[in-house]
Amino acid sequence: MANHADLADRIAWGRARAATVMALVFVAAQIGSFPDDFPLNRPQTLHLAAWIVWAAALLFFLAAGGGLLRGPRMRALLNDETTIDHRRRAMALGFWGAIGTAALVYGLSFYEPISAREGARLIITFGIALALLRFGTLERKALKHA
Amino acid sequence: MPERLLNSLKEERTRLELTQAELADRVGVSRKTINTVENGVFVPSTTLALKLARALGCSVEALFSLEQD
Repeated sequence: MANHADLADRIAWGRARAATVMALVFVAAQIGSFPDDFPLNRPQTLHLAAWIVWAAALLFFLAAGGGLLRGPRMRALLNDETTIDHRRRAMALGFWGAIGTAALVYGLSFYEPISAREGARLIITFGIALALLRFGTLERKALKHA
Repeated sequence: MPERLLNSLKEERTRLELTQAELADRVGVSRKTINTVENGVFVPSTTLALKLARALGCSVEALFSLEQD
């Protein structure tokens, strides 16, 4: 029985670290690609599709929480009350992050022409990244002394 | 000011010589949840509080109390 708990702890640690790393890589990749933008006169289907798929995958990771292939008992351990609470708090911060970024984009648009596509990319990127960072932090903190 | 929830989970658990992992297994949660409840970081749901009390053989009121009580 302790093996179950040990395995759940190990997976939860991995998930917490992965959430933090994925958030940082996601933001870094978007910042790195921003000067390129997605000009309307140039087909960027692949680039756009990759970004959308990446964002959707991160959202799925945040919402589903992992352990999908490990059976109902392990899945329940990996998504118990504290994890659900951490996920809820992380998503709330992600929401506020998205709203804050939207306000910044709105302000920025008075000084710098910014396309709807760029704006949406910024809002989604920071919303998801903040939620993932918060989830990773909360989980790591809870796991530290367990 | 929000009331703080106190608990005697650790005392009750150690009285029964249970580890966090063993108690977690009895109630079907992770060790992380037991740890955060013991440290007062996480306030459990009514369902979990009832499960914890049942696993430790005591009442919920014996396990949890409000600071002002």
